[in-house]
Amino acid sequence: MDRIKGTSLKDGIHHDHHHDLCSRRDFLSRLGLFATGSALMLSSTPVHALQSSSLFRKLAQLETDKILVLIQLNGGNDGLNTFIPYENDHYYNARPSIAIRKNDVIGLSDTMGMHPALEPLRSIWDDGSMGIIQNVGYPDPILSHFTSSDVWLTSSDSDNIKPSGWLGRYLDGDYIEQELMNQSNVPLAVNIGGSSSLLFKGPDNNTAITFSSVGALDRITQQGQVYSTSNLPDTAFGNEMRFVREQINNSFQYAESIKEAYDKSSNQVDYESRNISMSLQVVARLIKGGLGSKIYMVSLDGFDTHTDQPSSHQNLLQLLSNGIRSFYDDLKAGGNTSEVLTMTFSEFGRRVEQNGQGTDHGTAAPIMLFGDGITPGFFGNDPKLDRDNLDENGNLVYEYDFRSVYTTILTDWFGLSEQETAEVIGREYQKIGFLGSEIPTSNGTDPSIPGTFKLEQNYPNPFNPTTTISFSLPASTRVKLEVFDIQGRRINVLLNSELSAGSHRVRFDASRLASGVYLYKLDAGQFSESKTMTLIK
Amino acid sequence: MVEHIAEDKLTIEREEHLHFQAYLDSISAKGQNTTLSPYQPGTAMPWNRQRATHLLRRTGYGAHIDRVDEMLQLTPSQAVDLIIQESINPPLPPAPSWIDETPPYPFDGSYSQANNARSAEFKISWTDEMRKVPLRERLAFFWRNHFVVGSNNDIFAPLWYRYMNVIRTHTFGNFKEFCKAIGIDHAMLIYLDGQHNSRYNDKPQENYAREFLELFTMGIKNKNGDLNYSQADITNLAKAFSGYSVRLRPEFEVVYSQDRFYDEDKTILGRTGNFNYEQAIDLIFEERTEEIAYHICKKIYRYFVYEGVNESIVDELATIFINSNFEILPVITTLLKSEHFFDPEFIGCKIKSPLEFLNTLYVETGVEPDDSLKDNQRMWLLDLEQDPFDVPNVAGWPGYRLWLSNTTITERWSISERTFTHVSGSYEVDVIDLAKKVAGEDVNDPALLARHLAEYFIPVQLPEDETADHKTLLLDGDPEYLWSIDRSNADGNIRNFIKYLRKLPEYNLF
Repeated sequence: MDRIKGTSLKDGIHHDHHHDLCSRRDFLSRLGLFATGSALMLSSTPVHALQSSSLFRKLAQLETDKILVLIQLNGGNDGLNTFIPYENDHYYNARPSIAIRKNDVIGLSDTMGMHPALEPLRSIWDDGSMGIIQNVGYPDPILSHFTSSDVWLTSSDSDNIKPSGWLGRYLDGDYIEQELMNQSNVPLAVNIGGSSSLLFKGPDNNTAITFSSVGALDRITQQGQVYSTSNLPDTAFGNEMRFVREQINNSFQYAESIKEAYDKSSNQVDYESRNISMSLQVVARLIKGGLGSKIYMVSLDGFDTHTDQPSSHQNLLQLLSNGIRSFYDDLKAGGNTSEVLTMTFSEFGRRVEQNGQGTDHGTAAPIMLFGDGITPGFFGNDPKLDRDNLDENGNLVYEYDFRSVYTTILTDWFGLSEQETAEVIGREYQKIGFLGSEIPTSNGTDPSIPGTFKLEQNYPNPFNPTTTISFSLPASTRVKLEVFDIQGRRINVLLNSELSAGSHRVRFDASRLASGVYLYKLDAGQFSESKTMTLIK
Repeated sequence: MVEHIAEDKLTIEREEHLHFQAYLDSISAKGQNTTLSPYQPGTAMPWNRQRATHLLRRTGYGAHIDRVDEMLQLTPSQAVDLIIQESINPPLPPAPSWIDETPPYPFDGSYSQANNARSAEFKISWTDEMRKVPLRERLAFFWRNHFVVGSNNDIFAPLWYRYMNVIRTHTFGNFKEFCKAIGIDHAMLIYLDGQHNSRYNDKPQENYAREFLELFTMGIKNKNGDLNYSQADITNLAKAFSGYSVRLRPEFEVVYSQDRFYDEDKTILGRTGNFNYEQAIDLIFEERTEEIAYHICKKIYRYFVYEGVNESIVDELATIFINSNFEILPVITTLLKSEHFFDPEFIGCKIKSPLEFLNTLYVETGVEPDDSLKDNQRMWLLDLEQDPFDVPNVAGWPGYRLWLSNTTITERWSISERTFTHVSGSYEVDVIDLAKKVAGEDVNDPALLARHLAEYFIPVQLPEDETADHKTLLLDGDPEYLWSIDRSNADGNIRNFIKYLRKLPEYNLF
């Protein structure tokens, strides 16, 4: 016999595969020789024990309740017809027959509005729980669907795509508290739709449980297993059907905890019976049922609108906004909106100029954000559509690197330090202030630089259960904002990062705390000040 | 009195191979009610799309609806003949421009860089060939996984090309001649150390002789469990096989040197003489005729029908093999035309290998992958654990249930989506056209369309309660009365439904 591939490190990629291929236990388990309990013996267990430093543990303790829900818009969503620069003549000139007429646009600011099919999102906008980051892209954009998807999912440069996903690296790295990692019956991430498993691929493990469809997840919530293995015929194909079914059922070692979370909760609003809504419906129940997964991913296909864009894009945005609206209302009814951040993304936007009744592959596009944790409004400049500001293909030039978005989420949402974030993302990127650390530029507030440090009284006060704490900085400083109870025990660190000069607001959610007086303390360089606030439930 | 075999070589891999063989042998045989007599369509086993698809899938890589309907214009026997003719007639793939590019001396990095690119190119053209000449390539792959050459840094792309052509040339031919040719192929002499088998060494190099007996011809034991050969047979056979070496310069060449040959009497399987390479192979086929025929026919049966071996069918195939003096084609033809092959028990009982899976994705939707898809393809095959040049060891890919783990299953989902993205590129799928062909007049009835699509993509009958929601999935919230194939969202709905079908566990069967 010759050597088995992957036994030496120089075999590179095979070396990793070798672990899968050659361990005896795995070999035997894959043969189905250990039919009972084989779930325990399968490879690629998404959870493994990790060493974690006290720092990480501390961070994780503070942030364990934060959840990220991703909605992938497959095919390349047309950003310009989603959020419309309705005062821009270039827009109407470039798209004579597919532009959204000014009269139909739902105005959000003096210059920007949204597609009429997004009407259901208006109430979220009015709640101050919707943000839009404009012109998100990356250098040297790739217009191929999957290469560009890979860039986004892996957080790579376009000429050097990494083999693992950014969330996979986060979940599979040393960034999560041991205790959480050891809850092996809880998946760290849940992916419905299956097309984006790369996102969750970590250095060693695939960190997400992936469902091929919301139907597969449904069957778990109904039956506790995905595919029935009883009543299959005793034939050659019956035997193999049983095997492939068991193989998939066994992968779902989380079936029990998922069913439990699902059964414990309920949906408090109606959802459309469309795939995207049904997926979000299940996600809402799992969140409300306290499943404990930190990341959920769902996807909506069909955004590759080369032809027949007006009607197909309208349909898609309708599906999307109905889904998000129900999801948001459902979470709101359950009091979960402050712990959940929802974000849409797509592999690229579309060309500025129309082509027939559709659009070609483009570059930068807006990202939508939802949740009470965000600073609402538009981030970034309105798209610049005059020839001089487009690239040689007539595409938008990006303003924010998508990795700035990821960096912001990992630090300000999941609480990773800047250094850890840079490890996950690949290098340091400038943060964007959509998670409470900066006032958005086009939200009507003028961010003029204040003369002194100032910590404002929280508003409202007394409050139940959320309130906003504002402060201003005369210069860029490292800022720490903490909340203590009256015994002096620290309850929460709301902020611990470098912030730019200007006014800042942070939302504080006390839905898990008892009524009483609490103290909040701001440390910014030499400056330190505390104030009290009152929670009345 | 037989010596213990291969004690020094009882490595973990060998043990796992034996373990796996024992496991395969434990799978119960099926199809007890059908024989090798020619399949005659009837009410119990009609010649319909399901069976025509079965024939095409098992003799190639997936089945397109047009091809399925073409088969139904013929009798099953004519269909098999056509498939065979269309695989025997085409010429071998054209020689690449680098066919005679030998490595420089001293060796330098630029050759190895060029070689990587050539290997990559060759792998892609190989998978393309599978869709072009299905049965030849399906059988060639069988033999490639039988006469295994695994990864070895000295096997350059031009040698892979030569090796594959030896295989393709003999794939329907005479098995004994095949054995004679493959043992003195460049790549094989390198991979199993035949090139170092010289009387100037301390001992004969036994690697090839051992695998020749154990894996390539007869197996360690016969069907009664008796050992087929001894360690002394291996050593003596190795001596008969000695004298060959591989030259890489100035051109690729296999050289036989009489002075490197063990020019002495050898005792092999009880016969003594100064046997050379050819004589030794003839002798082995004479002394172990039944063992070889059984061993090879069992493997062919597993490849085309099912891993659970029906012994009486294999015995009959072995008799055909022996009576034709080891011609491969009569065995294949008889098997493919038999009622046993078309037994309903076997439809959908094979687990797709990664190459079968990937090519099927293309073929059944009529996609011809463009360059960017092909680029991704090499990575996907790695992820699915079947790099065509990198067989894990000389026993070949064990395959079968080992292809599926929770990692590779989710990879398969992801790949099936990626080969089916709606793009304006060169591999766009016309799903409307496909749906019309698959469903015919029923295309405007969502329940029937869903059923036709499920039957087209999934080889087995799904339980009733699981197909109940297929119509709902296809409609995706639209009211039934609005359904029409001409509606603008029909394309998207059908596409999503096909994606759903291709993620079902049973999609991994064929």
